[in-house]
Amino acid sequence: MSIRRTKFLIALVAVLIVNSAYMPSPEAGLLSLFEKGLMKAGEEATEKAATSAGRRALRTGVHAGTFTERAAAVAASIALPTGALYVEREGDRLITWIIGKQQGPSINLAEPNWQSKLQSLAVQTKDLPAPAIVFDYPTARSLRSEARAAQLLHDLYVVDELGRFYPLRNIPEVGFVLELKPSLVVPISDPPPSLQILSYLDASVDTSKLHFITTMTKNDADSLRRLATNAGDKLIPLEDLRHTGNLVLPGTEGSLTIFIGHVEGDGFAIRLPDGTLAEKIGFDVIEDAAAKQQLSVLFVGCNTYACSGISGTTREVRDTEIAEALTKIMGAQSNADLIEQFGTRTHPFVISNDSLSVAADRLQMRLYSLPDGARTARTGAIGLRLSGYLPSPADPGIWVVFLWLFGAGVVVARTINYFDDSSLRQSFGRVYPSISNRLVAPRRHRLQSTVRELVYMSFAPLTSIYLVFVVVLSAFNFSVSAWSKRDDVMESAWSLLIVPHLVALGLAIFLSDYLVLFAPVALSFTAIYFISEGALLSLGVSLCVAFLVYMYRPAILVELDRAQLAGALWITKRHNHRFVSAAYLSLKTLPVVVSAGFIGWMFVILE
Amino acid sequence: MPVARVTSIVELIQARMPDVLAELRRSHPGSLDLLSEGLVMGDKAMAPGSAVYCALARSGLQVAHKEIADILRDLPLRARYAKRIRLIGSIVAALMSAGVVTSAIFSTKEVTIITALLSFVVTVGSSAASHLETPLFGTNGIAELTEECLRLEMETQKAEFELQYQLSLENADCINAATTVNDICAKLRRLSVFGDVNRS
Repeated sequence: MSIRRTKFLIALVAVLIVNSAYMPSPEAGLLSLFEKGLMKAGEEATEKAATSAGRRALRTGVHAGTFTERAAAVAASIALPTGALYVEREGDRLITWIIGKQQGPSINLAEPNWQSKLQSLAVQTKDLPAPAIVFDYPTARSLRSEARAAQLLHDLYVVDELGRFYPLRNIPEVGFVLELKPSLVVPISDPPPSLQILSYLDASVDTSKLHFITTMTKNDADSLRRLATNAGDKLIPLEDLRHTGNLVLPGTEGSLTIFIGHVEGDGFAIRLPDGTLAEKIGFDVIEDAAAKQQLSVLFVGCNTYACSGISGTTREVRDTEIAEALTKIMGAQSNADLIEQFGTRTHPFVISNDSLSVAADRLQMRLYSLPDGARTARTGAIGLRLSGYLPSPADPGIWVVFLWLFGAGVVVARTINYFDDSSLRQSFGRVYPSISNRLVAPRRHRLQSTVRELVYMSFAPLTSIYLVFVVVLSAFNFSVSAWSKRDDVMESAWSLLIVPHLVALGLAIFLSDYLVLFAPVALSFTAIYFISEGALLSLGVSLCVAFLVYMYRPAILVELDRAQLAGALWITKRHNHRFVSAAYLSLKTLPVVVSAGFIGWMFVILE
Repeated sequence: MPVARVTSIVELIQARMPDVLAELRRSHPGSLDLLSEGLVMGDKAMAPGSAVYCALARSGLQVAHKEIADILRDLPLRARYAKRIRLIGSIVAALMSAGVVTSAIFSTKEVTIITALLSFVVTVGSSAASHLETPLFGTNGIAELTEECLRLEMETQKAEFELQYQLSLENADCINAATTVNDICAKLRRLSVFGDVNRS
């Protein structure tokens, strides 16, 4: 075995050991995209456990026998401030509970000014700058038919059966709505959003499953250009989709397709520049096509909620506004952020359970099916790792190693695709989401798509190997299998090509944290060795220290992070958030910088 | 009854003579909605017979005239460039054939390289000439584009007559004239945006 190959193997083993000893803390891995993915998994799991425990208590409370018990459960679950009012309907009466006081009077809905009486009960206190009224879901739903309910002026809230709270608003075009985001609402006439819908809205945007279709034609040249420039190759004109006469929407199962166009009555209308109607496509036709292909569609045009009755805008819109929204969409953090862009605070975008159920269900199904391939992937991964130790028959130069890695990567990529045919491509799609539209810049489009494909083909095998590497590590170290979070892991690997500096910073923090964990072990070994000169004793003590460090590593890293943050605040005197951030990052990477300096100095001394 | 549209007029004026649009907005402050860029993506009722349609039709025609004139001036220029490149290409190709003969006789490496390079230049030049002669979309060449522009010029004249006639009436209703002008402007914008002609 040549020296080069030996060095490579030593480096590989060293990296494995370094990574194996690491357990990320919540803040430590702030900037490392790799850690971020795994961290998110851990956080989600904790949050899920915490909220489900809290909700269970609330659910028990909400379903409790008496009004008093329910009111107490609601008040406790969200820490409602003193003075707020909890209201339920019983026949024609509203029964009330003033938080922090006692049961309030009941109000008869037949009274002419019942809404004023209700409002006067909610008291303004120092905990509560504006009086708040909380309804249970059936009450809020039934009040929409009460004429005077629209005159309720206080901060209104709704609690549903699962114990989730929403602000309640009254929008003239829709009536009472639950506010999910300032510009994204669900009408109260609908059932409350299901857990699937909520987790879909919270999920990060999967741009590989996002498509825009427009009914604009080249006759609307400027409008089409504006949309195509901002949406890139995600935008497809409707006329391109109907070569066979049938409407075939782009995207795979579970995609979200947003239809943008000029709305007239119950569908999109395509008009010629002289005003004559060229074609009309009904919302029902689009929905049928979407249902057949297992996709979700949203309609964007003027007042599409009123026209389609399912989802959409509640105002008149121009293509210029939509084009502007499209630029923001490309940077949206979650699906809710994405959809929200089509609405405004005063005229929010309306969604319903039905409008997103297909995409949400498919996402859930995919999440459930994620761990299925874990065991096989791990076995394959360990096999691959072991095969790395086998001597190569050819000249073991670095190029051979790379080629071997690439070849192995191709096999791994194919294996990953076998278990999950969309993960690799989709994670790439999310990181490199959009290129120029074919209509606006055809040459640039061709060039960019070729480059994109080349980048994909060159790096997909390496990304796959990276995934396997992390899956193997997660089998030893992490509470959550990296296979179940493979989308995040691969996304971070793809990001290496775009934001190497951030990833380098993340790696520096990663190594620094490891050094801090390793320091007590090394120090204890050295100290005992010098004191007693007994190698066995010092090894035993350092092993004990290593065990303790291993047991308490999350707590140590959290404390270290707190200290580093406090240090950064003290150094910068909170002068400017940029200085604070720079000082914090410097302190976080200090151990690795000091160690590098020390090693360099040692080299100089030795020479 | 067809829905009257003026979006393309507004877009063309905005692209070519934004000052004219600003002036229109100043003189018709009540119709800012109509004079804004972008298509209203819904069925919006329009106030018929408003003076703003007459003003829009007039300004639209003025800008359309200028646009057509610009395109018609630009197209022969492109044809001339294409022809010149083709001529140079054929001269170089002729020279190259001599180079091939020399290369065959002396079989020197340098001559072969130079010949290959010249061949490459000729191919590139020929591609450039073809590119200049054809638009980005469709199969129309310079001649067809010129024909299209001349047709638009004729339509512009007709629309002008129609507008003048409407303006001579006591209750001028310029909706029809504005619709015709919008159609012309839409075709011009289509040529500009997707036809690689006088691109903006």
